[in-house]
Amino acid sequence: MSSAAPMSTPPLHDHWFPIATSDELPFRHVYHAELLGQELAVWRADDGYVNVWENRCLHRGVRLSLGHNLGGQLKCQYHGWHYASRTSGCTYIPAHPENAPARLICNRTFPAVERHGFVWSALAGIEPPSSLTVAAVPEGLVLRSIPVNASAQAVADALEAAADVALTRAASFEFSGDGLSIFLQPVDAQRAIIRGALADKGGDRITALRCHNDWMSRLRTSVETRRGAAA
Amino acid sequence: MITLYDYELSGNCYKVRLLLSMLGVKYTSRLVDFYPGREHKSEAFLKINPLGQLPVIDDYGYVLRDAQAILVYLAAKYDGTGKWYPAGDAQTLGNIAQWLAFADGITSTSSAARLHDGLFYELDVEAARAGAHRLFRILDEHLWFAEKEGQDWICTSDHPTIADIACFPYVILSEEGGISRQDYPAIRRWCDRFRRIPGFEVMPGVFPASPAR
Repeated sequence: MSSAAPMSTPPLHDHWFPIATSDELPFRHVYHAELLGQELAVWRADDGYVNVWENRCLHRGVRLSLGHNLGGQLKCQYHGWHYASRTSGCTYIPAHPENAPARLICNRTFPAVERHGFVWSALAGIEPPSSLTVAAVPEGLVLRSIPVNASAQAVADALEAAADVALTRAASFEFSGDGLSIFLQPVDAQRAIIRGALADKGGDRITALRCHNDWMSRLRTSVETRRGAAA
Repeated sequence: MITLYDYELSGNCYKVRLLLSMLGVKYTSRLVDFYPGREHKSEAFLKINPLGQLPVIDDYGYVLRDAQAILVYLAAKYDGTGKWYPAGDAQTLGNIAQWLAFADGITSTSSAARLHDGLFYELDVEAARAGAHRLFRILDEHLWFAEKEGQDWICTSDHPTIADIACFPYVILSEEGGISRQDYPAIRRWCDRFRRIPGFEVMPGVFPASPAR
Protein backbone atom coordinates (compact mmCIF):
# COMPACT_ATOMS: atom_id res chain seq x y z
CA MET A 1 0.00 0.00 0.00
CA SER A 2 1.41 3.35 -0.98
CA SER A 3 1.90 5.68 1.92
CA ALA A 4 1.08 8.57 -0.39
CA ALA A 5 -2.40 7.27 -1.20
CA PRO A 6 -5.00 9.54 0.38
CA MET A 7 -7.19 7.83 2.93
CA SER A 8 -10.74 7.64 1.72
CA THR A 9 -13.29 9.53 3.75
CA PRO A 10 -15.46 7.15 5.78
CA PRO A 11 -19.14 7.16 4.80
CA LEU A 12 -21.05 10.27 5.86
CA HIS A 13 -17.99 11.99 7.35
CA ASP A 14 -18.38 14.72 4.71
CA HIS A 15 -22.07 15.18 5.50
CA TRP A 16 -23.12 18.09 7.72
CA PHE A 17 -25.43 17.06 10.55
CA PRO A 18 -27.06 19.05 13.34
CA ILE A 19 -25.28 17.87 16.52
CA ALA A 20 -26.93 20.21 19.06
CA THR A 21 -29.53 22.94 19.26
CA SER A 22 -28.38 26.46 20.08
CA ASP A 23 -30.40 26.20 23.33
CA GLU A 24 -28.31 23.23 24.37
CA LEU A 25 -25.22 25.45 24.69
CA PRO A 26 -26.14 27.81 27.54
CA PHE A 27 -23.63 29.93 29.42
CA ARG A 28 -20.68 27.94 30.81
CA HIS A 29 -22.10 24.54 29.88
CA VAL A 30 -20.44 21.62 28.08
CA TYR A 31 -22.82 19.60 25.91
CA HIS A 32 -22.14 15.89 25.39
CA ALA A 33 -22.74 15.10 21.70
CA GLU A 34 -22.00 12.17 19.45
CA LEU A 35 -21.97 11.80 15.68
CA LEU A 36 -21.37 8.54 13.79
CA GLY A 37 -19.81 7.00 16.89
CA GLN A 38 -17.48 9.97 17.50
CA GLU A 39 -18.08 11.46 20.95
CA LEU A 40 -17.91 15.25 21.05
CA ALA A 41 -17.61 17.91 23.76
CA VAL A 42 -19.48 20.96 22.46
CA TRP A 43 -19.24 24.26 24.27
CA ARG A 44 -19.88 27.92 23.65
CA ALA A 45 -17.20 30.38 24.78
CA ASP A 46 -18.34 33.64 26.37
CA ASP A 47 -17.64 35.44 23.07
CA GLY A 48 -20.19 33.17 21.36
CA TYR A 49 -17.71 30.92 19.54
CA VAL A 50 -18.90 27.29 19.38
CA ASN A 51 -16.22 24.65 19.92
CA VAL A 52 -16.71 21.06 18.74
CA TRP A 53 -13.93 18.87 20.10
CA GLU A 54 -13.16 15.21 20.49
CA ASN A 55 -14.57 14.32 23.91
CA ARG A 56 -11.28 13.24 25.39
CA CYS A 57 -8.60 14.93 27.43
CA LEU A 58 -5.15 14.46 25.87
CA HIS A 59 -3.69 13.74 29.30
CA ARG A 60 -5.62 10.75 30.70
CA GLY A 61 -8.48 10.36 28.27
CA VAL A 62 -11.23 11.56 30.59
CA ARG A 63 -14.33 12.95 28.86
CA LEU A 64 -14.07 16.72 28.47
CA SER A 65 -17.87 16.93 28.71
CA LEU A 66 -17.32 16.36 32.45
CA GLY A 67 -15.10 19.42 32.57
CA HIS A 68 -15.51 23.10 33.31
CA ASN A 69 -16.42 25.69 30.69
CA LEU A 70 -14.45 28.68 32.00
CA GLY A 71 -15.68 31.05 29.33
CA GLY A 72 -12.56 31.14 27.17
CA GLN A 73 -11.02 27.82 28.14
CA LEU A 74 -12.17 24.31 28.93
CA LYS A 75 -10.69 22.75 32.07
CA CYS A 76 -10.56 18.98 32.45
CA GLN A 77 -12.24 17.72 35.61
CA TYR A 78 -9.49 15.18 36.32
CA HIS A 79 -6.11 16.93 36.51
CA GLY A 80 -7.10 20.41 35.45
CA TRP A 81 -5.45 20.70 32.03
CA HIS A 82 -6.75 23.85 30.33
CA TYR A 83 -7.51 24.08 26.60
CA ALA A 84 -8.14 27.34 24.74
CA SER A 85 -11.32 28.10 22.82
CA ARG A 86 -10.90 28.08 19.01
CA THR A 87 -7.43 26.48 18.82
CA SER A 88 -8.02 23.79 21.50
CA GLY A 89 -4.36 24.22 22.38
CA CYS A 90 -3.34 23.31 25.93
CA THR A 91 -2.64 26.51 27.86
CA TYR A 92 -1.97 25.30 31.39
CA ILE A 93 -0.95 22.12 33.18
CA PRO A 94 -1.40 22.48 36.95
CA ALA A 95 1.31 19.88 37.70
CA HIS A 96 3.84 22.07 35.82
CA PRO A 97 2.72 25.59 36.69
CA GLU A 98 6.04 27.17 35.68
CA ASN A 99 6.20 25.64 32.21
CA ALA A 100 4.25 26.70 29.15
CA PRO A 101 2.72 23.57 27.60
CA ALA A 102 4.21 22.44 24.31
CA ARG A 103 2.40 23.92 21.33
CA LEU A 104 1.89 20.42 19.97
CA ILE A 105 -0.59 19.64 22.75
CA CYS A 106 -3.74 20.38 20.83
CA ASN A 107 -7.06 18.57 20.91
CA ARG A 108 -8.84 17.30 17.81
CA THR A 109 -11.42 19.81 16.63
CA PHE A 110 -14.30 19.58 14.19
CA PRO A 111 -15.86 22.39 12.17
CA ALA A 112 -18.98 24.06 13.51
CA VAL A 113 -21.62 26.26 11.95
CA GLU A 114 -24.53 27.70 13.93
CA ARG A 115 -27.55 28.23 11.73
CA HIS A 116 -31.36 27.88 11.95
CA GLY A 117 -31.16 27.32 15.74
CA PHE A 118 -28.82 24.33 15.42
CA VAL A 119 -25.10 23.68 15.61
CA TRP A 120 -23.97 21.69 12.56
CA SER A 121 -20.78 19.73 12.16
CA ALA A 122 -19.08 17.22 9.86
CA LEU A 123 -16.44 14.73 10.98
CA ALA A 124 -14.24 15.41 7.96
CA GLY A 125 -12.62 18.80 8.55
CA ILE A 126 -14.27 20.46 5.57
CA GLU A 127 -15.66 23.86 4.72
CA PRO A 128 -19.40 24.18 5.17
CA PRO A 129 -21.54 24.40 2.05
CA SER A 130 -23.54 27.57 1.49
CA SER A 131 -26.70 25.70 2.39
CA LEU A 132 -26.69 22.96 5.00
CA THR A 133 -30.10 21.62 4.10
CA VAL A 134 -32.02 20.84 0.94
CA ALA A 135 -35.27 22.57 1.86
CA ALA A 136 -35.64 25.97 3.53
CA VAL A 137 -35.68 25.66 7.33
CA PRO A 138 -38.55 27.54 8.96
CA GLU A 139 -37.32 30.26 11.28
CA GLY A 140 -39.40 29.92 14.39
CA LEU A 141 -39.47 27.21 16.99
CA VAL A 142 -36.76 24.61 17.51
CA LEU A 143 -38.47 21.43 18.70
CA ARG A 144 -37.37 19.29 21.62
CA SER A 145 -34.83 16.80 20.24
CA ILE A 146 -35.77 13.16 20.67
CA PRO A 147 -32.99 10.56 21.07
CA VAL A 148 -34.03 7.13 19.81
CA ASN A 149 -32.43 3.77 20.52
CA ALA A 150 -32.51 2.72 16.87
CA SER A 151 -30.45 3.39 13.74
CA ALA A 152 -31.05 6.57 11.74
CA GLN A 153 -32.21 4.32 8.90
CA ALA A 154 -34.90 2.69 11.08
CA VAL A 155 -36.06 6.12 12.26
CA ALA A 156 -36.10 7.43 8.68
CA ASP A 157 -38.28 4.50 7.61
CA ALA A 158 -40.68 5.22 10.46
CA LEU A 159 -40.82 8.94 9.58
CA GLU A 160 -41.71 8.12 5.98
CA ALA A 161 -44.58 5.96 7.20
CA ALA A 162 -45.64 8.26 10.06
CA ALA A 163 -49.41 8.58 10.30
CA ASP A 164 -49.35 11.49 12.77
CA VAL A 165 -47.69 13.97 10.45
CA ALA A 166 -47.35 14.35 6.68
CA LEU A 167 -43.63 14.41 5.85
CA THR A 168 -41.76 14.27 2.57
CA ARG A 169 -38.27 12.92 2.41
CA ALA A 170 -36.16 15.78 1.10
CA ALA A 171 -32.77 14.06 1.49
CA SER A 172 -31.28 11.02 3.21
CA PHE A 173 -31.51 12.54 6.67
CA GLU A 174 -33.97 15.33 6.07
CA PHE A 175 -37.76 15.54 5.94
CA SER A 176 -40.09 18.43 5.39
CA GLY A 177 -43.76 19.01 6.00
CA ASP A 178 -46.18 21.86 6.45
CA GLY A 179 -43.96 24.52 8.06
CA LEU A 180 -41.83 21.76 9.52
CA SER A 181 -38.26 20.53 8.98
CA ILE A 182 -37.02 17.30 10.53
CA PHE A 183 -33.35 16.24 10.63
CA LEU A 184 -31.86 12.93 11.69
CA GLN A 185 -28.55 12.80 13.50
CA PRO A 186 -26.90 9.36 13.38
CA VAL A 187 -25.40 9.07 16.89
CA ASP A 188 -23.91 5.65 16.27
CA ALA A 189 -25.00 2.49 14.46
CA GLN A 190 -27.82 1.86 16.91
CA ARG A 191 -28.86 5.36 18.04
CA ALA A 192 -30.20 8.49 16.39
CA ILE A 193 -31.61 11.86 17.39
CA ILE A 194 -34.66 13.41 15.73
CA ARG A 195 -34.28 17.19 15.58
CA GLY A 196 -36.75 19.63 14.13
CA ALA A 197 -37.78 23.22 13.50
CA LEU A 198 -41.26 24.61 13.09
CA ALA A 199 -42.58 27.82 11.58
CA ASP A 200 -44.02 30.07 14.29
CA LYS A 201 -47.60 30.58 13.18
CA GLY A 202 -48.44 32.87 16.07
CA GLY A 203 -50.38 30.40 18.21
CA ASP A 204 -49.38 29.28 21.69
CA ARG A 205 -45.75 28.20 21.42
CA ILE A 206 -45.82 25.72 24.29
CA THR A 207 -48.88 23.97 22.82
CA ALA A 208 -47.15 23.66 19.45
CA LEU A 209 -43.93 22.37 21.04
CA ARG A 210 -45.87 19.82 23.11
CA CYS A 211 -47.84 18.64 20.10
CA HIS A 212 -44.66 17.87 18.14
CA ASN A 213 -42.95 16.40 21.20
CA ASP A 214 -45.90 14.03 21.54
CA TRP A 215 -45.91 12.58 18.03
CA MET A 216 -42.12 12.30 17.99
CA SER A 217 -42.23 10.45 21.33
CA ARG A 218 -44.93 8.11 20.01
CA LEU A 219 -42.82 7.44 16.92
CA ARG A 220 -39.84 6.70 19.15
CA THR A 221 -41.85 4.22 21.20
CA SER A 222 -43.04 2.45 18.09
CA VAL A 223 -39.55 2.23 16.54
CA GLU A 224 -37.99 1.01 19.78
CA THR A 225 -40.76 -1.53 20.38
CA ARG A 226 -40.35 -2.92 16.88
CA ARG A 227 -36.60 -3.07 17.37
CA GLY A 228 -37.03 -4.83 20.73
CA ALA A 229 -39.40 -7.36 19.16
CA ALA A 230 -36.93 -8.04 16.35
CA ALA A 231 -34.00 -8.54 18.72
CA MET B 1 -28.04 19.42 67.91
CA ILE B 2 -29.08 17.24 64.97
CA THR B 3 -27.42 13.86 64.67
CA LEU B 4 -27.38 12.33 61.19
CA TYR B 5 -26.88 8.57 60.96
CA ASP B 6 -24.68 8.85 57.91
CA TYR B 7 -22.71 6.88 55.33
CA GLU B 8 -20.42 8.81 53.03
CA LEU B 9 -21.21 6.86 49.85
CA SER B 10 -25.00 6.94 50.35
CA GLY B 11 -26.88 9.21 47.97
CA ASN B 12 -29.84 9.22 50.37
CA CYS B 13 -27.63 10.48 53.22
CA TYR B 14 -26.17 13.01 50.73
CA LYS B 15 -29.68 14.47 50.25
CA VAL B 16 -29.79 15.34 53.96
CA ARG B 17 -26.23 16.67 54.00
CA LEU B 18 -27.05 18.87 50.99
CA LEU B 19 -30.11 20.46 52.57
CA LEU B 20 -28.40 21.02 55.92
CA SER B 21 -25.45 22.62 54.13
CA MET B 22 -27.66 24.80 51.93
CA LEU B 23 -29.64 25.90 55.00
CA GLY B 24 -26.45 26.45 57.00
CA VAL B 25 -27.66 24.18 59.83
CA LYS B 26 -24.98 22.54 61.98
CA TYR B 27 -25.19 18.82 62.68
CA THR B 28 -23.02 15.90 63.71
CA SER B 29 -22.54 12.81 61.59
CA ARG B 30 -22.75 9.47 63.34
CA LEU B 31 -21.01 7.24 60.77
CA VAL B 32 -22.66 3.87 60.15
CA ASP B 33 -20.56 1.11 58.58
CA PHE B 34 -22.98 0.32 55.75
CA TYR B 35 -20.39 -1.56 53.68
CA PRO B 36 -18.85 -3.96 54.35
CA GLY B 37 -19.94 -3.98 58.00
CA ARG B 38 -23.74 -3.98 57.37
CA GLU B 39 -24.12 -2.05 60.59
CA HIS B 40 -27.50 -0.75 59.36
CA LYS B 41 -28.80 -4.31 59.73
CA SER B 42 -27.37 -4.76 63.24
CA GLU B 43 -29.66 -5.30 66.22
CA ALA B 44 -28.62 -1.97 67.69
CA PHE B 45 -29.41 -0.02 64.51
CA LEU B 46 -32.72 -1.84 63.91
CA LYS B 47 -33.87 -0.36 67.22
CA ILE B 48 -33.31 3.08 65.66
CA ASN B 49 -34.81 2.18 62.27
CA PRO B 50 -36.60 -1.19 62.04
CA LEU B 51 -36.34 -0.94 58.23
CA GLY B 52 -32.55 -1.11 58.51
CA GLN B 53 -32.02 1.84 56.16
CA LEU B 54 -30.09 5.09 56.14
CA PRO B 55 -30.43 7.99 56.73
CA VAL B 56 -32.01 8.62 60.11
CA ILE B 57 -31.87 11.87 62.04
CA ASP B 58 -32.21 12.53 65.73
CA ASP B 59 -33.13 16.14 66.45
CA TYR B 60 -33.04 16.55 70.24
CA GLY B 61 -34.78 13.19 70.68
CA TYR B 62 -37.12 13.44 67.68
CA VAL B 63 -36.10 10.47 65.54
CA LEU B 64 -37.07 10.37 61.87
CA ARG B 65 -36.19 7.93 59.08
CA ASP B 66 -36.50 8.15 55.25
CA ALA B 67 -34.55 10.73 53.25
CA GLN B 68 -37.63 12.36 51.73
CA ALA B 69 -39.41 12.60 55.10
CA ILE B 70 -36.29 14.10 56.65
CA LEU B 71 -36.11 16.75 53.90
CA VAL B 72 -39.74 17.72 54.59
CA TYR B 73 -39.10 17.98 58.32
CA LEU B 74 -35.83 19.91 58.10
CA ALA B 75 -37.13 22.39 55.52
CA ALA B 76 -40.34 22.98 57.49
CA LYS B 77 -38.42 23.50 60.70
CA TYR B 78 -35.18 25.23 59.73
CA ASP B 79 -35.80 27.14 56.48
CA GLY B 80 -36.78 30.64 57.54
CA THR B 81 -37.37 31.72 53.93
CA GLY B 82 -40.08 29.07 53.36
CA LYS B 83 -38.76 28.55 49.83
CA TRP B 84 -37.48 25.00 50.06
CA TYR B 85 -40.90 23.68 51.14
CA PRO B 86 -43.47 26.43 50.68
CA ALA B 87 -46.14 25.62 53.26
CA GLY B 88 -49.49 27.10 52.26
CA ASP B 89 -48.92 26.75 48.50
CA ALA B 90 -51.17 23.74 47.88
CA GLN B 91 -50.19 23.03 44.26
CA THR B 92 -46.48 23.38 44.88
CA LEU B 93 -46.71 21.07 47.91
CA GLY B 94 -48.63 18.57 45.79
CA ASN B 95 -46.00 18.78 43.06
CA ILE B 96 -43.20 18.41 45.59
CA ALA B 97 -44.81 15.26 47.06
CA GLN B 98 -45.19 13.87 43.54
CA TRP B 99 -41.50 14.39 42.77
CA LEU B 100 -40.39 13.09 46.19
CA ALA B 101 -42.13 9.84 45.27
CA PHE B 102 -40.45 10.00 41.84
CA ALA B 103 -37.10 10.36 43.64
CA ASP B 104 -37.84 7.11 45.46
CA GLY B 105 -38.29 5.54 42.02
CA ILE B 106 -34.85 6.86 41.01
CA THR B 107 -33.47 5.22 44.16
CA SER B 108 -35.02 1.84 43.36
CA THR B 109 -33.58 1.89 39.81
CA SER B 110 -30.47 4.08 39.43
CA SER B 111 -29.24 3.53 42.99
CA ALA B 112 -29.93 -0.20 42.72
CA ALA B 113 -27.78 -0.42 39.57
CA ARG B 114 -24.99 1.43 41.40
CA LEU B 115 -25.21 -0.93 44.39
CA HIS B 116 -24.94 -3.84 41.94
CA ASP B 117 -21.88 -2.46 40.17
CA GLY B 118 -20.11 -0.90 43.16
CA LEU B 119 -21.08 -2.95 46.20
CA PHE B 120 -21.86 -6.31 44.57
CA TYR B 121 -25.59 -6.45 45.33
CA GLU B 122 -27.36 -9.28 43.56
CA LEU B 123 -30.26 -7.96 41.54
CA ASP B 124 -31.50 -7.67 37.94
CA VAL B 125 -29.21 -4.83 36.88
CA GLU B 126 -30.54 -4.60 33.32
CA ALA B 127 -34.07 -4.10 34.66
CA ALA B 128 -32.77 -1.47 37.08
CA ARG B 129 -30.97 0.40 34.27
CA ALA B 130 -34.00 0.24 31.98
CA GLY B 131 -36.18 1.56 34.79
CA ALA B 132 -33.80 4.45 35.40
CA HIS B 133 -33.77 5.37 31.69
CA ARG B 134 -37.58 5.37 31.68
CA LEU B 135 -37.64 7.79 34.63
CA PHE B 136 -34.85 9.96 33.18
CA ARG B 137 -36.82 10.40 29.94
CA ILE B 138 -39.77 11.65 32.00
CA LEU B 139 -37.60 13.99 34.06
CA ASP B 140 -35.75 15.32 30.99
CA GLU B 141 -39.02 16.10 29.20
CA HIS B 142 -40.38 17.80 32.33
CA LEU B 143 -37.25 19.94 32.72
CA TRP B 144 -37.13 20.86 29.00
CA PHE B 145 -40.66 22.25 29.07
CA ALA B 146 -40.03 23.86 32.46
CA GLU B 147 -37.08 25.74 30.90
CA LYS B 148 -39.31 26.91 28.05
CA GLU B 149 -41.67 28.40 30.65
CA GLY B 150 -38.76 30.09 32.44
CA GLN B 151 -38.74 27.54 35.26
CA ASP B 152 -35.26 26.46 36.35
CA TRP B 153 -36.28 23.91 38.98
CA ILE B 154 -38.45 20.80 39.11
CA CYS B 155 -41.41 22.43 40.88
CA THR B 156 -40.68 26.15 40.99
CA SER B 157 -39.30 29.05 38.98
CA ASP B 158 -37.11 31.16 41.18
CA HIS B 159 -35.75 28.92 43.92
CA PRO B 160 -35.14 25.17 44.21
CA THR B 161 -37.23 23.00 46.53
CA ILE B 162 -36.56 19.77 48.39
CA ALA B 163 -37.83 17.96 45.26
CA ASP B 164 -34.65 19.05 43.44
CA ILE B 165 -32.53 17.82 46.36
CA ALA B 166 -34.38 14.48 46.47
CA CYS B 167 -33.87 13.83 42.75
CA PHE B 168 -30.27 15.04 42.38
CA PRO B 169 -28.01 12.44 44.06
CA TYR B 170 -29.01 9.28 42.19
CA VAL B 171 -29.24 11.21 38.93
CA ILE B 172 -25.68 12.57 39.23
CA LEU B 173 -24.35 9.17 40.43
CA SER B 174 -26.12 7.20 37.68
CA GLU B 175 -22.98 6.49 35.68
CA GLU B 176 -21.63 4.49 38.64
CA GLY B 177 -24.46 2.08 37.78
CA GLY B 178 -23.76 2.13 34.04
CA ILE B 179 -26.53 4.62 33.22
CA SER B 180 -25.32 7.35 30.84
CA ARG B 181 -26.96 10.77 30.88
CA GLN B 182 -25.87 11.59 27.34
CA ASP B 183 -29.47 11.37 26.08
CA TYR B 184 -30.80 13.75 28.75
CA PRO B 185 -29.45 17.22 27.95
CA ALA B 186 -32.10 19.05 30.00
CA ILE B 187 -31.15 16.91 33.02
CA ARG B 188 -27.48 17.76 32.40
CA ARG B 189 -28.26 21.51 32.37
CA TRP B 190 -30.34 21.17 35.57
CA CYS B 191 -27.38 19.33 37.18
CA ASP B 192 -25.18 22.35 36.33
CA ARG B 193 -27.70 24.73 37.90
CA PHE B 194 -28.10 22.51 40.96
CA ARG B 195 -24.35 22.39 41.57
CA ARG B 196 -24.26 26.19 41.57
CA ILE B 197 -26.75 26.53 44.46
CA PRO B 198 -25.05 28.35 47.37
CA GLY B 199 -24.05 25.81 50.02
CA PHE B 200 -23.74 22.96 47.50
CA GLU B 201 -21.20 20.36 48.51
CA VAL B 202 -19.85 17.28 46.77
CA MET B 203 -19.58 13.63 47.76
CA PRO B 204 -17.34 10.91 46.26
CA GLY B 205 -18.27 10.57 42.58
CA VAL B 206 -19.86 14.02 42.34
CA PHE B 207 -17.86 16.86 40.79
CA PRO B 208 -18.43 20.59 41.18
CA ALA B 209 -19.70 22.70 38.26
CA SER B 210 -17.79 25.61 36.85
CA PRO B 211 -18.78 28.93 38.36
CA ALA B 212 -21.33 30.93 36.35
CA ARG B 213 -22.19 34.59 36.48
